Amino acid sequence: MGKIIIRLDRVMADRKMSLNTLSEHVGISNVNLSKLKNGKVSAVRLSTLEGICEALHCQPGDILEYDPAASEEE
Amino acid sequence: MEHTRMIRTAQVLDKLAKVLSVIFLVVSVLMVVLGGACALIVGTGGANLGQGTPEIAFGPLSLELADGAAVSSAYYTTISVAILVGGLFVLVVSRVGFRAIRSILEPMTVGRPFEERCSRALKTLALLTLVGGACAQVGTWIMTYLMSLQIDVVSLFAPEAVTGVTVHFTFGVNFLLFAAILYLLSFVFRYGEVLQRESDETV
Repeated sequence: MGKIIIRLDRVMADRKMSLNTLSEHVGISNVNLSKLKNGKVSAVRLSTLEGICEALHCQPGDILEYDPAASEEE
Repeated sequence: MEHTRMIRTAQVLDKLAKVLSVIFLVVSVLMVVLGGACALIVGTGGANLGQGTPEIAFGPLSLELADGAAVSSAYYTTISVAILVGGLFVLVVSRVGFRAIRSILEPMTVGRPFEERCSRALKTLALLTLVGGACAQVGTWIMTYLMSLQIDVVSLFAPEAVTGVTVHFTFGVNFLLFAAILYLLSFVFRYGEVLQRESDETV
């Protein structure tokens, strides 16, 4: 079974937005946003995804990528 | 609002548990010291301690016996040893029990009732209830039997009125039910822990 990979850092770099600024826009803490960026979360609320897409002017597919070859341990 | 109420209630109960654990510790240590000292004195032939006013209970009634009436010489030794053993029992049960109770209450005081240690603490309490209840039951039987040997109850009554005495050993099952409930509750808390972890890992 593959894995969802979070490309948030890539989109943030493209939009030149810092973690602090994005966390203020989205309304979640720096710690949680950092965990999300590093893929240390097991679930994302739709409201959080909406906030991130609105702040970064992107689509969910820009942030989330499914890799069928990746495993949970990576 | 319910969350705040839980935190406040848990804080009050945690403080109460802390106070009670100290009280139980003091009482149990006193029982051990007193029981041990009395057993030692009586066992080595301490004259004054072997005399007094023994009492026997018939349900809610307590009969004070005249000095030396119907009581064997081993009565005081038995009582002393019972206090000593009882004190040790209370010491162990209270230390383990209050530690388990406080490890359930402490996460609640910060608004997180489903921490990993809670289900383990509930299982500990269930085991303690089972073992402690069984030990208390067996201890009661032993004391009842020994008292029946050491107190000549028939001699307290008119021989034409009372000709014999029978000891009935009862078995209370309340502790079994309570242990089962605590054990089942541990599974509920375990499920809650899983849900809490999933919630924590959701952003």
